Amino acid sequence: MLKYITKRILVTIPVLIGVVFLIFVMLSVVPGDPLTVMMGEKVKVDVIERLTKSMHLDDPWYVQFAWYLWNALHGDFGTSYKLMRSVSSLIANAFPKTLMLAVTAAALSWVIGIPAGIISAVKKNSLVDHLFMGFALCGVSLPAFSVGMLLQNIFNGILPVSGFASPMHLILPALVLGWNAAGTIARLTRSSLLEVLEDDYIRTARAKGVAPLSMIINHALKNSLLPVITMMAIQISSLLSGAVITETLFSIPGIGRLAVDAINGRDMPLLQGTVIFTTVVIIGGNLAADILYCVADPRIRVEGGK
Amino acid sequence: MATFEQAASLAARLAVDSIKDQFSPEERLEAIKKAEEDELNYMPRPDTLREKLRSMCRENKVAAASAVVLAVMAFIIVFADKLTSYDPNMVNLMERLLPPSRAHWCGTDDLGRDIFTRILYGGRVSLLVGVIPTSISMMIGIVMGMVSGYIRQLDAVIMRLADIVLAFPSIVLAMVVMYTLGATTTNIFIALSMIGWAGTARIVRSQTLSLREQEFVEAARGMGVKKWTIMFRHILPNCLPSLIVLFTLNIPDAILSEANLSFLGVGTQPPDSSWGLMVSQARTYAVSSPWMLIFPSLAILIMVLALNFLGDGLRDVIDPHMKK
Repeated sequence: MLKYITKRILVTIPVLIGVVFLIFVMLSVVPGDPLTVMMGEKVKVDVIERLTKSMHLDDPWYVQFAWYLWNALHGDFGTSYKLMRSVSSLIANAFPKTLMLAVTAAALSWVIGIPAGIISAVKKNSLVDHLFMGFALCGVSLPAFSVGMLLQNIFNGILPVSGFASPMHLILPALVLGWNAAGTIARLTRSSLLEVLEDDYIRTARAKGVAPLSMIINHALKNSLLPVITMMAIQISSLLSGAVITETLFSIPGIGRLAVDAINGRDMPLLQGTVIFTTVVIIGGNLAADILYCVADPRIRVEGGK
Repeated sequence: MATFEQAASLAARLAVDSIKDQFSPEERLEAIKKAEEDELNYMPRPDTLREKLRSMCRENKVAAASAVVLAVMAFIIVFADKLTSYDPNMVNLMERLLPPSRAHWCGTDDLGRDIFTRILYGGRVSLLVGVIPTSISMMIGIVMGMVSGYIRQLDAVIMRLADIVLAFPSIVLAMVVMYTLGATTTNIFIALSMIGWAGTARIVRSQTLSLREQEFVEAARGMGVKKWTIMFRHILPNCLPSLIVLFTLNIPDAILSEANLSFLGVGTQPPDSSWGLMVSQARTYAVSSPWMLIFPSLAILIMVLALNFLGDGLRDVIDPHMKK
């Protein structure tokens, strides 16, 4: 098990370096002199020289990349051109807001999605099933900003529709994110439970006269929730990586909003920093999902440990 | 030795001759037919794609209805200029923000443009953005996946590359690409294709891995068929069913991605319109003129839902074991 986890962690290292490299290269080819973006047109020559030197701007790109990687390892992602603050502190400032939103949305999606999926599977092809699944599909099939704007429209005057001042401000954005996530969770729970319900051991349990409710909770659910757990970890990481659209729509100063601002302001270091940060969060989430799966399902452990 | 073989063949010929004499040609034909039938009964022929589709239409009414809805939508979108007399980009400030009426089925927007007309024309962008990048990304994904699964030396490199692409939050990666290349429709195609291939590559790779061990591939290899011929003539046709399903399920993702990019201002640029752009343009007027928000959202919802239903239906009949 430890061997499997170590192997899994080692595999992510080249991926991480690749991610940083890709972002670095993509953003380096963008036309425009960073110093002009930063200071405007009228700057003294000696200031430019000094900054060029301190930011390694006249070095070849691979030296710049090495410096960037080295600094990033020390938690230094450079200084934002526009906001004149260190990118790390900006991210540290924005992340708690994204975290609160993500946790609320995830909790909402589990509380709604898992029971809905179970009921749908048990009452397969009933009216309830169709209703729940239709609701779930709508959550997955509408763009987040459509849902968000509809909710803003409906709750205008009842709930705060933008900003981030109180827990009340979290309700609508969490509903937008949570509906989408709950849709995925409900569909997955349903299909996975349906699959398990056809297994031999469930038939045996039924033949032995286990009560239907206890059979589902004690026998079937345990096995059918495995893929759901993985999906939950993956979803948390994608929620944490910044719900770009939702944060923009509801003016929540989180990570996603930071990335959009960076793009609109052509603020390269900030963009690089946020993208790399979110990607690291996603990779971490996927890693956590794999490890969770491996803890929950011994079969994986045996195969992976070989 | 030679004499023994000659004797054996003579004996066999004699045996055949004696059977020939015993049974009439009709009887023999009947016997052959019966044998063939027995064989058919013993090994049931798997359903062809057409039969599977037919059974889907019979059993899964929702999927069949979705196919019809999609066909109708495609027809309306393609023949938009014949079906409406309004110009999608004609500004008419006298008629701005009108609610739905007989003259304007879905109302008008802030510049007095007919929303129904703009939905028809905007559908062209949304449909293209759904189909073209999905096709390109799937082609890349197929080649990458098959190479990765068949030529094992390249497996690690390609799969790590796919890992890198999959590690990005897709909307952020698309934003970065659009930022780097500039916001045009062609660049939306490029951005979405660059992101989408990795998922397809993974699925094709896993299928290639299991197919390459099967006897028909081994036989082809034994006969000296070239690597690339084996990959594209022997393995690819066997991946096709799940690729069709994947294609149907990838299109809605692309449509939603374009909508998101347009909302963030790096997607379709005005005065062109796509459904996503129309919804995001409704932002300021959503409270006072909700029709600006509702009708384009409905268009997205219907198309994406129909594609998802169709994809699910196809998956149930074609490839029941495939998971998204």
